[in-house]
Amino acid sequence: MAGGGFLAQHWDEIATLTLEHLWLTGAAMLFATAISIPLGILIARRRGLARPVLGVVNTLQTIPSLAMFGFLLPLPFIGERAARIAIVALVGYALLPIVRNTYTGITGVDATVMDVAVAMGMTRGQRLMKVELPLAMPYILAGLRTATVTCVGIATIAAAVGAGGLGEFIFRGVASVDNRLVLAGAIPAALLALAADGFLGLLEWKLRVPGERRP
Amino acid sequence: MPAAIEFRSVSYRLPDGRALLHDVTLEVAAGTTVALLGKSGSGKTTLLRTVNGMHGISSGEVLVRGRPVASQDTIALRRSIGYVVQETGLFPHFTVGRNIGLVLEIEGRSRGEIQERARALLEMVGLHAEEFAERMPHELSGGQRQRVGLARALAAGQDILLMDEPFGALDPLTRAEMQDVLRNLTMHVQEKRTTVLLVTHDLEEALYLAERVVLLEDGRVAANLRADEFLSSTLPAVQAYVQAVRRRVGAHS
Repeated sequence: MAGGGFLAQHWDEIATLTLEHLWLTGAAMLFATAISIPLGILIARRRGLARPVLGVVNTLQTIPSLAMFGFLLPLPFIGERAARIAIVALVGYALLPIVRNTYTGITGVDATVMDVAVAMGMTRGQRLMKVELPLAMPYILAGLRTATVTCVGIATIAAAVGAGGLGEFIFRGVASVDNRLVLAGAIPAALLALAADGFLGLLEWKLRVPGERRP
Repeated sequence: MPAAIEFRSVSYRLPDGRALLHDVTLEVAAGTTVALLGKSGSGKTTLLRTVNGMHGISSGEVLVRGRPVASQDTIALRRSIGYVVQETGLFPHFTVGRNIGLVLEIEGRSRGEIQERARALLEMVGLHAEEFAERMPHELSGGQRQRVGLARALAAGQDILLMDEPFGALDPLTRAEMQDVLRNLTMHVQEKRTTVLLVTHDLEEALYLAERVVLLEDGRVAANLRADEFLSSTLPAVQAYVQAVRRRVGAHS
Protein backbone atom coordinates (compact mmCIF):
# COMPACT_ATOMS: atom_id res chain seq x y z
CA MET A 1 0.00 0.00 0.00
CA ALA A 2 1.26 3.41 -0.88
CA GLY A 3 -0.52 5.15 2.04
CA GLY A 4 2.65 5.70 4.03
CA GLY A 5 4.45 6.80 0.92
CA PHE A 6 1.69 9.25 0.04
CA LEU A 7 1.79 10.89 3.47
CA ALA A 8 5.58 11.11 3.45
CA GLN A 9 5.50 12.59 0.00
CA HIS A 10 2.87 15.21 0.83
CA TRP A 11 3.72 15.92 4.43
CA ASP A 12 5.34 19.29 3.80
CA GLU A 13 2.51 20.41 1.60
CA ILE A 14 -0.13 19.33 4.12
CA ALA A 15 1.65 21.35 6.78
CA THR A 16 1.96 24.42 4.55
CA LEU A 17 -1.63 24.33 3.39
CA THR A 18 -2.90 23.73 6.91
CA LEU A 19 -1.01 26.82 8.06
CA GLU A 20 -2.39 28.78 5.14
CA HIS A 21 -5.87 27.57 5.98
CA LEU A 22 -5.38 28.61 9.60
CA TRP A 23 -4.14 32.02 8.57
CA LEU A 24 -7.09 32.66 6.26
CA THR A 25 -9.60 31.57 8.88
CA GLY A 26 -7.81 33.35 11.71
CA ALA A 27 -7.54 36.65 9.86
CA ALA A 28 -11.18 36.46 8.81
CA MET A 29 -12.29 35.69 12.36
CA LEU A 30 -10.30 38.64 13.73
CA PHE A 31 -11.93 41.05 11.29
CA ALA A 32 -15.35 39.49 11.78
CA THR A 33 -15.09 39.74 15.56
CA ALA A 34 -13.90 43.33 15.41
CA ILE A 35 -16.91 44.22 13.27
CA SER A 36 -19.59 41.96 14.73
CA ILE A 37 -19.31 42.53 18.48
CA PRO A 38 -19.57 46.34 18.23
CA LEU A 39 -22.35 45.90 15.66
CA GLY A 40 -24.21 43.54 17.98
CA ILE A 41 -23.84 46.02 20.84
CA LEU A 42 -25.05 48.86 18.60
CA ILE A 43 -28.23 47.07 17.53
CA ALA A 44 -28.88 46.05 21.14
CA ARG A 45 -28.77 49.78 22.02
CA ARG A 46 -30.83 50.93 19.03
CA ARG A 47 -33.37 48.18 18.61
CA GLY A 48 -34.77 49.85 15.51
CA LEU A 49 -31.57 48.94 13.68
CA ALA A 50 -31.72 45.29 14.71
CA ARG A 51 -34.08 44.12 11.98
CA PRO A 52 -32.35 45.78 9.01
CA VAL A 53 -28.83 44.88 10.20
CA LEU A 54 -29.71 41.27 10.95
CA GLY A 55 -31.54 41.15 7.63
CA VAL A 56 -28.43 42.20 5.73
CA VAL A 57 -26.03 39.83 7.48
CA ASN A 58 -28.58 37.08 7.13
CA THR A 59 -28.75 37.66 3.38
CA LEU A 60 -24.94 37.51 3.13
CA GLN A 61 -25.16 34.09 4.74
CA THR A 62 -27.48 32.80 2.02
CA ILE A 63 -25.11 33.57 -0.87
CA PRO A 64 -23.61 30.31 -2.13
CA SER A 65 -19.92 30.42 -1.23
CA LEU A 66 -18.62 29.73 -4.72
CA ALA A 67 -20.75 32.61 -6.01
CA MET A 68 -19.50 34.88 -3.24
CA PHE A 69 -15.89 34.28 -4.26
CA GLY A 70 -16.91 34.94 -7.85
CA PHE A 71 -18.63 38.22 -7.00
CA LEU A 72 -15.55 39.53 -5.21
CA LEU A 73 -13.14 38.63 -8.00
CA PRO A 74 -13.68 41.73 -10.20
CA LEU A 75 -13.70 44.21 -7.30
CA PRO A 76 -10.84 46.72 -7.06
CA PHE A 77 -8.34 46.17 -4.23
CA ILE A 78 -10.19 43.13 -2.86
CA GLY A 79 -10.07 41.30 -6.17
CA GLU A 80 -6.36 41.96 -6.68
CA ARG A 81 -5.21 39.25 -4.31
CA ALA A 82 -6.75 35.85 -3.78
CA ALA A 83 -6.18 35.96 -0.02
CA ARG A 84 -8.10 39.24 0.21
CA ILE A 85 -11.05 37.75 -1.62
CA ALA A 86 -11.02 34.74 0.65
CA ILE A 87 -10.82 36.78 3.84
CA VAL A 88 -13.57 39.20 2.83
CA ALA A 89 -15.85 36.33 1.85
CA LEU A 90 -15.19 34.49 5.08
CA VAL A 91 -15.88 37.65 7.10
CA GLY A 92 -19.23 37.87 5.31
CA TYR A 93 -20.18 34.40 6.52
CA ALA A 94 -18.88 34.91 10.04
CA LEU A 95 -20.88 38.07 10.72
CA LEU A 96 -24.32 36.60 11.29
CA PRO A 97 -23.67 34.18 14.16
CA ILE A 98 -21.54 36.71 16.08
CA VAL A 99 -23.79 39.74 15.54
CA ARG A 100 -26.91 37.79 16.33
CA ASN A 101 -25.52 36.15 19.45
CA THR A 102 -24.03 39.40 20.78
CA TYR A 103 -27.42 41.01 20.28
CA THR A 104 -29.30 38.13 21.91
CA GLY A 105 -26.86 37.95 24.78
CA ILE A 106 -27.03 41.63 25.63
CA THR A 107 -30.77 42.05 25.19
CA GLY A 108 -31.26 38.92 27.28
CA VAL A 109 -29.56 40.31 30.39
CA ASP A 110 -32.06 40.30 33.25
CA ALA A 111 -34.01 43.57 33.31
CA THR A 112 -33.80 43.92 37.10
CA VAL A 113 -30.04 43.49 37.02
CA MET A 114 -29.75 46.28 34.45
CA ASP A 115 -32.19 48.46 36.38
CA VAL A 116 -30.07 48.09 39.50
CA ALA A 117 -26.89 48.75 37.53
CA VAL A 118 -28.33 52.07 36.37
CA ALA A 119 -29.78 52.93 39.78
CA MET A 120 -26.50 52.36 41.58
CA GLY A 121 -24.81 54.90 39.36
CA MET A 122 -22.85 52.90 36.82
CA THR A 123 -21.87 54.84 33.70
CA ARG A 124 -22.78 53.43 30.28
CA GLY A 125 -19.26 52.12 29.83
CA GLN A 126 -19.25 50.46 33.24
CA ARG A 127 -22.56 48.80 32.54
CA LEU A 128 -21.22 47.45 29.26
CA MET A 129 -17.88 46.23 30.58
CA LYS A 130 -18.92 45.00 34.02
CA VAL A 131 -22.43 43.73 33.44
CA GLU A 132 -23.62 43.38 29.86
CA LEU A 133 -20.58 41.88 28.16
CA PRO A 134 -19.70 39.41 30.94
CA LEU A 135 -23.30 38.23 31.14
CA ALA A 136 -23.57 38.00 27.34
CA MET A 137 -20.17 36.29 27.00
CA PRO A 138 -21.43 32.70 26.80
CA TYR A 139 -23.68 33.75 23.91
CA ILE A 140 -20.93 35.70 22.16
CA LEU A 141 -18.54 32.77 22.45
CA ALA A 142 -21.17 30.41 21.11
CA GLY A 143 -21.50 32.72 18.12
CA LEU A 144 -17.72 32.81 17.63
CA ARG A 145 -17.68 29.04 17.77
CA THR A 146 -20.33 28.64 15.09
CA ALA A 147 -18.62 31.27 12.94
CA THR A 148 -15.19 29.64 13.27
CA VAL A 149 -16.41 26.18 12.35
CA THR A 150 -18.31 27.62 9.38
CA CYS A 151 -15.22 29.54 8.24
CA VAL A 152 -12.91 26.55 8.45
CA GLY A 153 -15.29 24.71 6.15
CA ILE A 154 -15.92 27.49 3.68
CA ALA A 155 -12.22 28.35 3.52
CA THR A 156 -11.70 25.13 1.57
CA ILE A 157 -13.59 26.78 -1.32
CA ALA A 158 -11.08 29.65 -1.29
CA ALA A 159 -8.75 27.45 -3.30
CA ALA A 160 -11.10 27.96 -6.24
CA VAL A 161 -9.87 31.54 -6.56
CA GLY A 162 -6.28 30.55 -5.83
CA ALA A 163 -6.17 31.63 -2.21
CA GLY A 164 -4.63 28.34 -1.14
CA GLY A 165 -5.54 26.48 2.01
CA LEU A 166 -6.54 22.84 2.33
CA GLY A 167 -9.05 23.26 -0.47
CA GLU A 168 -6.08 22.97 -2.87
CA PHE A 169 -5.88 19.27 -2.12
CA ILE A 170 -9.58 18.80 -2.44
CA PHE A 171 -9.84 20.55 -5.82
CA ARG A 172 -6.79 18.73 -7.10
CA GLY A 173 -8.13 15.44 -5.83
CA VAL A 174 -11.49 15.97 -7.48
CA ALA A 175 -9.87 16.97 -10.76
CA SER A 176 -7.57 13.95 -10.82
CA VAL A 177 -10.13 11.57 -9.24
CA ASP A 178 -7.70 10.82 -6.41
CA ASN A 179 -9.48 10.30 -3.12
CA ARG A 180 -6.22 10.33 -1.22
CA LEU A 181 -5.73 13.95 -2.22
CA VAL A 182 -9.33 14.82 -1.29
CA LEU A 183 -8.79 13.25 2.12
CA ALA A 184 -5.44 15.01 2.55
CA GLY A 185 -7.43 18.24 2.44
CA ALA A 186 -10.63 17.15 4.11
CA ILE A 187 -9.18 15.40 7.16
CA PRO A 188 -6.94 18.26 8.36
CA ALA A 189 -9.81 20.69 7.69
CA ALA A 190 -12.15 18.60 9.80
CA LEU A 191 -9.55 18.32 12.55
CA LEU A 192 -9.07 22.09 12.51
CA ALA A 193 -12.79 22.61 12.84
CA LEU A 194 -13.01 20.13 15.70
CA ALA A 195 -10.06 21.69 17.50
CA ALA A 196 -11.49 25.21 17.19
CA ASP A 197 -14.88 23.97 18.32
CA GLY A 198 -13.39 22.20 21.32
CA PHE A 199 -11.20 25.12 22.35
CA LEU A 200 -13.99 27.70 22.13
CA GLY A 201 -16.40 25.33 23.84
CA LEU A 202 -13.96 25.05 26.73
CA LEU A 203 -13.66 28.83 26.91
CA GLU A 204 -17.44 29.13 26.83
CA TRP A 205 -17.69 26.72 29.76
CA LYS A 206 -15.01 28.60 31.70
CA LEU A 207 -16.77 31.93 31.24
CA ARG A 208 -20.30 30.68 31.89
CA VAL A 209 -22.36 32.64 34.37
CA PRO A 210 -22.58 30.68 37.61
CA GLY A 211 -26.03 29.40 38.44
CA GLU A 212 -27.51 30.31 35.08
CA ARG A 213 -29.03 27.79 32.77
CA ARG A 214 -28.51 29.90 29.67
CA PRO A 215 -25.98 28.37 27.24
CA MET B 1 -31.97 71.51 57.79
CA PRO B 2 -33.54 70.71 54.41
CA ALA B 3 -35.64 67.59 54.04
CA ALA B 4 -33.68 64.62 52.70
CA ILE B 5 -36.25 64.25 49.94
CA GLU B 6 -38.91 66.73 48.94
CA PHE B 7 -41.56 66.52 46.25
CA ARG B 8 -43.04 69.83 45.18
CA SER B 9 -46.21 69.55 43.09
CA VAL B 10 -44.75 66.67 41.16
CA SER B 11 -46.77 65.45 38.21
CA TYR B 12 -46.02 62.93 35.54
CA ARG B 13 -48.27 62.56 32.53
CA LEU B 14 -48.02 59.95 29.81
CA PRO B 15 -48.00 61.18 26.20
CA ASP B 16 -51.70 60.27 25.99
CA GLY B 17 -52.43 62.70 28.82
CA ARG B 18 -53.06 60.16 31.59
CA ALA B 19 -51.41 61.29 34.84
CA LEU B 20 -49.36 58.69 36.75
CA LEU B 21 -48.46 61.30 39.37
CA HIS B 22 -50.69 64.21 40.09
CA ASP B 23 -49.50 67.22 42.05
CA VAL B 24 -47.64 65.22 44.69
CA THR B 25 -46.24 67.33 47.51
CA LEU B 26 -44.41 65.46 50.21
CA GLU B 27 -41.42 65.73 52.51
CA VAL B 28 -39.19 63.02 53.86
CA ALA B 29 -37.31 64.47 56.81
CA ALA B 30 -33.68 63.43 57.18
CA GLY B 31 -33.27 60.32 59.29
CA THR B 32 -36.90 59.23 59.06
CA THR B 33 -38.66 56.43 57.29
CA VAL B 34 -41.68 57.19 55.12
CA ALA B 35 -43.78 54.37 53.73
CA LEU B 36 -45.70 54.71 50.48
CA LEU B 37 -48.85 52.61 50.51
CA GLY B 38 -51.44 52.15 47.81
CA LYS B 39 -52.88 49.78 45.26
CA SER B 40 -50.90 48.58 42.29
CA GLY B 41 -50.83 51.37 39.74
CA SER B 42 -51.29 54.10 42.34
CA GLY B 43 -47.93 55.59 41.41
CA LYS B 44 -45.78 54.43 44.35
CA THR B 45 -42.95 53.00 42.30
CA THR B 46 -43.03 55.87 39.82
CA LEU B 47 -42.75 58.39 42.64
CA LEU B 48 -39.90 56.45 44.24
CA ARG B 49 -37.97 56.36 40.98
CA THR B 50 -38.15 60.11 40.45
CA VAL B 51 -35.83 60.50 43.45
CA ASN B 52 -32.76 59.01 41.76
CA GLY B 53 -33.69 60.19 38.30
CA MET B 54 -34.78 56.73 37.12
CA HIS B 55 -38.10 58.26 36.15
CA GLY B 56 -38.70 61.71 34.73
CA ILE B 57 -41.39 64.18 35.76
CA SER B 58 -43.61 66.45 33.68
CA SER B 59 -43.88 69.31 36.11
CA GLY B 60 -42.99 70.25 39.64
CA GLU B 61 -39.70 69.58 41.36
CA VAL B 62 -38.00 66.76 43.24
CA LEU B 63 -35.31 67.87 45.68
CA VAL B 64 -32.71 65.64 47.28
CA ARG B 65 -30.77 67.09 50.20
CA GLY B 66 -32.27 70.47 49.32
CA ARG B 67 -31.16 70.51 45.68
CA PRO B 68 -33.30 69.77 42.61
CA VAL B 69 -32.62 66.34 41.13
CA ALA B 70 -32.63 67.89 37.67
CA SER B 71 -29.68 70.13 38.52
CA GLN B 72 -27.56 67.37 40.08
CA ASP B 73 -25.06 65.09 38.39
CA THR B 74 -27.19 61.97 37.85
CA ILE B 75 -24.37 59.47 38.27
CA ALA B 76 -23.14 61.03 41.52
CA LEU B 77 -26.70 61.35 42.81
CA ARG B 78 -27.44 57.69 42.14
CA ARG B 79 -24.25 56.57 43.84
CA SER B 80 -25.26 58.51 46.93
CA ILE B 81 -28.68 56.83 47.18
CA GLY B 82 -29.18 53.17 48.05
CA TYR B 83 -31.65 51.19 45.95
CA VAL B 84 -33.28 47.93 46.92
CA VAL B 85 -35.92 46.07 44.91
CA GLN B 86 -37.94 42.93 45.49
CA GLU B 87 -36.03 40.87 42.93
CA THR B 88 -32.73 42.09 44.49
CA GLY B 89 -30.95 42.24 41.13
CA LEU B 90 -27.67 40.88 42.49
CA PHE B 91 -25.07 40.55 39.76
CA PRO B 92 -24.99 36.79 39.15
CA HIS B 93 -21.39 36.77 37.92
CA PHE B 94 -19.92 38.56 40.97
CA THR B 95 -19.27 37.14 44.40
CA VAL B 96 -21.35 38.40 47.31
CA GLY B 97 -18.42 40.53 48.46
CA ARG B 98 -17.96 42.14 45.06
CA ASN B 99 -21.68 42.80 44.77
CA ILE B 100 -21.64 44.64 48.07
CA GLY B 101 -18.56 46.67 47.19
CA LEU B 102 -19.69 47.56 43.68
CA VAL B 103 -20.47 51.23 44.17
CA LEU B 104 -17.08 51.68 45.80
CA GLU B 105 -15.52 49.75 42.93
CA ILE B 106 -17.06 51.94 40.22
CA GLU B 107 -15.97 54.97 42.19
CA GLY B 108 -12.44 53.64 41.90
CA ARG B 109 -11.68 53.03 45.59
CA SER B 110 -8.83 50.79 46.61
CA ARG B 111 -9.26 47.04 46.82
CA GLY B 112 -8.44 46.91 50.49
CA GLU B 113 -11.00 49.53 51.37
CA ILE B 114 -13.68 47.80 49.30
CA GLN B 115 -13.03 44.42 50.89
CA GLU B 116 -13.00 45.78 54.39
CA ARG B 117 -16.23 47.67 53.86
CA ALA B 118 -17.96 44.70 52.21
CA ARG B 119 -17.01 42.48 55.13
CA ALA B 120 -18.21 44.99 57.69
CA LEU B 121 -21.54 45.37 55.93
CA LEU B 122 -22.00 41.60 55.66
CA GLU B 123 -21.63 41.28 59.41
CA MET B 124 -24.05 44.15 59.92
CA VAL B 125 -26.76 42.34 58.00
CA GLY B 126 -26.08 39.19 59.98
CA LEU B 127 -24.04 37.14 57.50
CA HIS B 128 -20.57 35.93 58.48
CA ALA B 129 -18.06 37.49 56.13
CA GLU B 130 -15.78 34.43 56.29
CA GLU B 131 -18.58 32.23 55.10
CA PHE B 132 -20.38 34.45 52.64
CA ALA B 133 -17.98 36.94 51.02
CA GLU B 134 -16.78 34.49 48.37
CA ARG B 135 -20.12 32.85 47.64
CA MET B 136 -22.03 33.44 44.44
CA PRO B 137 -25.56 34.89 44.54
CA HIS B 138 -27.21 31.71 43.28
CA GLU B 139 -25.94 29.88 46.32
CA LEU B 140 -28.00 32.06 48.67
CA SER B 141 -31.54 31.73 49.99
CA GLY B 142 -34.10 34.43 49.27
CA GLY B 143 -33.61 36.04 52.65
CA GLN B 144 -29.83 35.96 52.36
CA ARG B 145 -30.00 37.52 48.93
CA GLN B 146 -32.11 40.35 50.27
CA ARG B 147 -29.60 40.88 53.11
CA VAL B 148 -26.84 41.18 50.55
CA GLY B 149 -28.97 43.58 48.50
CA LEU B 150 -29.44 45.73 51.58
CA ALA B 151 -25.74 45.66 52.42
CA ARG B 152 -24.90 46.63 48.85
CA ALA B 153 -27.29 49.57 48.93
CA LEU B 154 -25.56 51.08 51.96
CA ALA B 155 -21.92 50.06 51.50
CA ALA B 156 -20.79 53.34 49.96
CA GLY B 157 -22.10 55.42 52.85
CA GLN B 158 -25.46 56.23 51.28
CA ASP B 159 -27.62 58.19 53.73
CA ILE B 160 -30.80 57.78 51.68
CA LEU B 161 -32.34 54.43 50.86
CA LEU B 162 -35.04 53.79 48.27
CA MET B 163 -36.83 50.48 48.70
CA ASP B 164 -39.42 49.06 46.34
CA GLU B 165 -41.31 46.15 47.93
CA PRO B 166 -38.01 44.91 49.32
CA PHE B 167 -39.41 41.98 51.28
CA GLY B 168 -42.44 41.22 49.14
CA ALA B 169 -41.17 37.86 47.91
CA LEU B 170 -40.17 36.50 51.32
CA ASP B 171 -42.08 34.17 53.62
CA PRO B 172 -43.65 35.87 56.68
CA LEU B 173 -40.96 34.78 59.15
CA THR B 174 -38.03 35.80 56.97
CA ARG B 175 -39.87 38.99 56.22
CA ALA B 176 -40.19 39.86 59.91
CA GLU B 177 -36.50 39.05 60.36
CA MET B 178 -35.58 41.32 57.49
CA GLN B 179 -37.65 44.17 58.87
CA ASP B 180 -35.58 44.01 62.03
CA VAL B 181 -32.34 43.80 60.07
CA LEU B 182 -33.40 46.92 58.18
CA ARG B 183 -34.34 48.82 61.33
CA ASN B 184 -31.11 47.94 62.99
CA LEU B 185 -29.09 48.82 59.92
CA THR B 186 -30.68 52.21 59.30
CA MET B 187 -29.91 53.13 62.90
CA HIS B 188 -26.34 51.93 63.04
CA VAL B 189 -24.75 51.89 59.61
CA GLN B 190 -23.79 55.52 60.05
CA GLU B 191 -23.70 58.02 62.87
CA LYS B 192 -26.96 59.54 61.71
CA ARG B 193 -30.03 57.48 60.92
CA THR B 194 -30.52 56.58 57.29
CA THR B 195 -33.46 58.21 55.50
CA VAL B 196 -35.72 55.58 53.96
CA LEU B 197 -38.47 55.88 51.37
CA LEU B 198 -40.23 52.54 51.33
CA VAL B 199 -42.81 51.31 48.84
CA THR B 200 -44.85 48.46 50.27
CA HIS B 201 -48.16 46.64 49.94
CA ASP B 202 -47.95 45.54 53.54
CA LEU B 203 -49.79 47.78 55.99
CA GLU B 204 -48.24 46.12 59.04
CA GLU B 205 -44.77 46.56 57.57
CA ALA B 206 -45.45 50.23 56.90
CA LEU B 207 -46.68 50.79 60.44
CA TYR B 208 -43.77 48.88 61.94
CA LEU B 209 -40.99 50.54 60.01
CA ALA B 210 -42.15 54.06 59.20
CA GLU B 211 -42.69 57.26 61.12
CA ARG B 212 -45.02 58.54 58.45
CA VAL B 213 -47.33 56.64 56.14
CA VAL B 214 -48.42 58.12 52.85
CA LEU B 215 -51.36 56.64 50.99
CA LEU B 216 -51.35 57.17 47.23
CA GLU B 217 -54.46 56.87 45.11
CA ASP B 218 -54.34 57.28 41.33
CA GLY B 219 -51.12 59.24 41.57
CA ARG B 220 -52.35 61.62 44.27
CA VAL B 221 -51.55 61.82 47.94
CA ALA B 222 -54.74 60.63 49.60
CA ALA B 223 -53.30 60.73 53.11
CA ASN B 224 -50.02 61.66 54.79
CA LEU B 225 -50.17 60.68 58.44
CA ARG B 226 -48.02 59.76 61.40
CA ALA B 227 -47.82 55.99 61.56
CA ASP B 228 -49.38 55.85 65.02
CA GLU B 229 -52.38 57.86 63.79
CA PHE B 230 -52.93 55.95 60.58
CA LEU B 231 -55.27 53.24 61.85
CA SER B 232 -57.48 55.68 63.77
CA SER B 233 -57.72 58.14 60.91
CA THR B 234 -61.22 59.11 59.85
CA LEU B 235 -60.16 59.91 56.29
CA PRO B 236 -62.44 57.88 54.02
CA ALA B 237 -59.57 56.82 51.76
CA VAL B 238 -57.58 55.51 54.73
CA GLN B 239 -60.58 53.75 56.25
CA ALA B 240 -61.40 52.10 52.93
CA TYR B 241 -57.77 50.98 52.51
CA VAL B 242 -57.45 49.61 56.03
CA GLN B 243 -60.75 47.78 55.76
CA ALA B 244 -59.82 46.25 52.43
CA VAL B 245 -56.45 45.08 53.76
CA ARG B 246 -57.97 43.70 56.97
CA ARG B 247 -60.61 41.80 55.03
CA ARG B 248 -57.93 40.21 52.93
CA VAL B 249 -55.89 39.25 55.98
CA GLY B 250 -59.04 37.86 57.62
CA ALA B 251 -59.89 35.78 54.59
CA HIS B 252 -56.44 34.22 54.63
CA SER B 253 -56.29 33.28 58.30
